[in-house]
Amino acid sequence: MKPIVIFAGLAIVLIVGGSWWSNTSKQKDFEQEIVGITSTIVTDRSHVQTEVEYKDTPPVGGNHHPVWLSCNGDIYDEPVVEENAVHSLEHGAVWITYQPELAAEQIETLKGKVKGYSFMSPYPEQESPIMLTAWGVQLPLDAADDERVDQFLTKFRQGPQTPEPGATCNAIPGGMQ
Amino acid sequence: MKYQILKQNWLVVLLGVVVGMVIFLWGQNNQSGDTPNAAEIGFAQDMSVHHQQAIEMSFLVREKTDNQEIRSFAFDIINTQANQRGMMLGWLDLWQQPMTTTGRPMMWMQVAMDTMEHSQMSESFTPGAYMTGMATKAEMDRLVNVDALEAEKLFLELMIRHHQGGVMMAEGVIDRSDNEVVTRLAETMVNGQQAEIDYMNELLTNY
Repeated sequence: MKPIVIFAGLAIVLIVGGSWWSNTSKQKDFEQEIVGITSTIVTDRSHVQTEVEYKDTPPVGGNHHPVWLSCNGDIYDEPVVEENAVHSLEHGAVWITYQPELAAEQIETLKGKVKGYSFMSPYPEQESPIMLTAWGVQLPLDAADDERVDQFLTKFRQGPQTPEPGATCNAIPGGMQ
Repeated sequence: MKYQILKQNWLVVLLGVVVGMVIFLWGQNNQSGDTPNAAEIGFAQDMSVHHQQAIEMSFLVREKTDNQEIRSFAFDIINTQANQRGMMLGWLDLWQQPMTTTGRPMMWMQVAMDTMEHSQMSESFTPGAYMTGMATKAEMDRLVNVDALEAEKLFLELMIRHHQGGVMMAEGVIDRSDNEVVTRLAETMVNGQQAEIDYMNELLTNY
């Protein structure tokens, strides 16, 4: 075989292989299907100063208080006000919640995951030991070292389903009302 | 002789495969929106100017008032619209397009403007303003010069009109673009700004 044929063949293998590899590695980060997720299309998103009846526990979206909860890697040791937390979901945050009786080392593991555009609080009423929630999506988990924690954070912090892209997770200067 | 033909055929097949791959990959790249249309470019340029004024109005009202509800809302607008401006300017950068247009603003929506009901147009367009929904220089000056309570009310009125213009422009690009990144942001603007218009109308009843 002539060298040019070998060269061309090699080039094809590199091009095809390279494009396949780059496509699948992109998918790994962003388009990966996460097993166990439930999705809801949320249409209500008005600012209200009244209590809201949410149908999910914890809520995945809906009407909310005008003030959002600081969600810049904030860790809350007490349950938070849902109406504020839902506003943070609207801003693209992932909300990590856990049953208060979850083992201390599991809670520590979760705390290590809470960085920008995410926040964490106990949620006594939830059915699963751990819940990950972003606007319109939710994932129940049993253990903090489940690889789906990182997958969920990667995909949904300021994820494509965020109703207000670019909105901040910083606390409002001057504090809560 | 036979061998010669066989070898040539192989080369032709090989050439065909290479050309096919190049075309395929070029097509793949273009799918990601490398070549924007006039509406997408016009939207990114005009909406960033539009957003900039909303940011300016929000800063002005935060200087004027101690009302925490107005200040929180203005803080929200400043962050969201500044970041969205950055997204749109980033598209223009990647598309290798100028950040601002030298032509008349919103020309890319001309078709829609012509066929649009006059009442709909005049609702958010103020003579003397640069673009639909935007405040005039005189209105911006008034926001600076009136007292706190008056400034809060004027801010809400101006921002409602500003958002109405913004919603109209975002709808304009949704009708004219197949680029998912562009239409997704535009759709969040339509829904988000409409929700904020409702909220501001409710706040206005306090004045």
